Amino acid sequence: MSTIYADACVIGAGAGGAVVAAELAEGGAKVVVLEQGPAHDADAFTARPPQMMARLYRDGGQTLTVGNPAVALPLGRGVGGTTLINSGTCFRTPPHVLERWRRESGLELDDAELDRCFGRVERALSISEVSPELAGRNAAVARRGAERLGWSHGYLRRNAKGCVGSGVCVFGCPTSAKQHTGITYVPRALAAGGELLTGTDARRLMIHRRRVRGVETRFPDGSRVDVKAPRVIVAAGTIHTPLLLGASGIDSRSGQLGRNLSLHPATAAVALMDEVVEMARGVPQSFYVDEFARDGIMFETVAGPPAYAAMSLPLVGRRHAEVMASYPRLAQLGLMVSDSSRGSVHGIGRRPVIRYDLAQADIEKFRAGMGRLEELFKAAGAREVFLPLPAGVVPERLRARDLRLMAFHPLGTARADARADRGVVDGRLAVHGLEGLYVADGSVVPSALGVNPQLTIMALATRLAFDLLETPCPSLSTERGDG
Amino acid sequence: MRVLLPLARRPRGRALLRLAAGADQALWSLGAMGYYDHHDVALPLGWDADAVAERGRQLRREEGRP
Repeated sequence: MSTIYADACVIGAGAGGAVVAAELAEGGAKVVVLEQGPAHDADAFTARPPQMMARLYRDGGQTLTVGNPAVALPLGRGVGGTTLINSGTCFRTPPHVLERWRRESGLELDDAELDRCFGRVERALSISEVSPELAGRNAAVARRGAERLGWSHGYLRRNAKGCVGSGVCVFGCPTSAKQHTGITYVPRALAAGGELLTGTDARRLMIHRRRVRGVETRFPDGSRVDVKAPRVIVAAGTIHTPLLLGASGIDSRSGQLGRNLSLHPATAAVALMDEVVEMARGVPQSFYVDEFARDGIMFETVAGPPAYAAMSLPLVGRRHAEVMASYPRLAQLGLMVSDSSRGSVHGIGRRPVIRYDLAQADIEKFRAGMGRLEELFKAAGAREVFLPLPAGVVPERLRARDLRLMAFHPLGTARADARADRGVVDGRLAVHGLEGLYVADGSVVPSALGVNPQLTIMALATRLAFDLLETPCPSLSTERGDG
Repeated sequence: MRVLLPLARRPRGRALLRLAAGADQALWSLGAMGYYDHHDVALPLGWDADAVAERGRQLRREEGRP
């Protein structure tokens, strides 16, 4: 067994962990980052979905929830975490969600402070709006439909620099245009003297007299390394963070550890157009329709190469082959629901079991959303629309079991709440009742956001880092030397 | 899926899966993804994965991207 000493140990190099690690290291702290997965080399990105899912996704992308319906829950594995395999979409936390957290969770959220944190992340990741040209013709189809219906819409903001529209963001960006944390914040942490240990499995937090002392880890060969640090930041992700906390004997007084799971369940419809779309030419997730966002329904374009389209086309047999023959004329649009359903995560052995059933209120959102999807595609001039429903099932009568769902935004399993009997961490992300232990990933997010969460997670992680450094997050003007 | 695929290879397993809503679609999706990933199938549909990957390598080399 060997021991490493550090000021702070960060578990996980994804959206939350990498940000905390870089900010702490640049602030002068000695930081050790533990990452269970490998560091991926972009030279090995082949733009082939089956190969890349096997390499970049946890369990080859086949993580499933247990419940009605089962939901596919793809999670990234490696340096960069899920930022490595997401579409790069960046939304700030909607103001009505922040207001809800203030009201229901007692969180003190200072708008000016959050604005500085969001701005700092946006600059670090080169976040900007996708241009119509780069968005491609799949986005043009969605835009045409939204405009004809008079629905609110826009081009998405993304963390990309020098993007050429390769069309495979979720299968490993071959141009390294997507600014995932593995090529942004992690190199910054290392340049500032941080240490990254890949292939390390954090087994247990070392806690003595209500104070964290470090982390016990194992390498694949079974060898043990202890990282002794007075501060530990857990950022293993919404599914795995509660397992690690639970395995370390942290039995939250609130009873909320592993509970309160929201997912943003999603599905997608495909449309056969008269025009050539070539959906994989351009940014796959580039355009949104938020006309029904207040009802918990959000549309975002999704797209990919034929292998991806074949996987998501809701047909089988000869009909599937006939429609795939028209792949260049297929368009696709995703439907994401801001869910009120709540699931849970618990461990069997060291593997997570994710329980999630769709509540009636969310089934109603899918019923309404599917109808709207069809309406939008028809307004855009679709020759035929393929909804992800079994034959003979119409949107207004769909049942939970009829839905083919995926989810990309698990949140809430170590939720923040100012009251120790209601949340696992407090409003500044410190675990209630313990000294030196913090959580900085999607698990702290108290409720579904209705939008993609990576920017929220990163901004909260930035705020935590500057809390630990005991200095305010600088504003952009301060950094530029304007004042 | 690790459980579903071996089941689907057996006649009794397939019969069992037919009882599970969506299982046939899920299996079809996995098979279809593999089939349409073949270069000879994807290329006539306008997708050349090798060219996309090579363009990425070239851009990273030329512009010093990570």
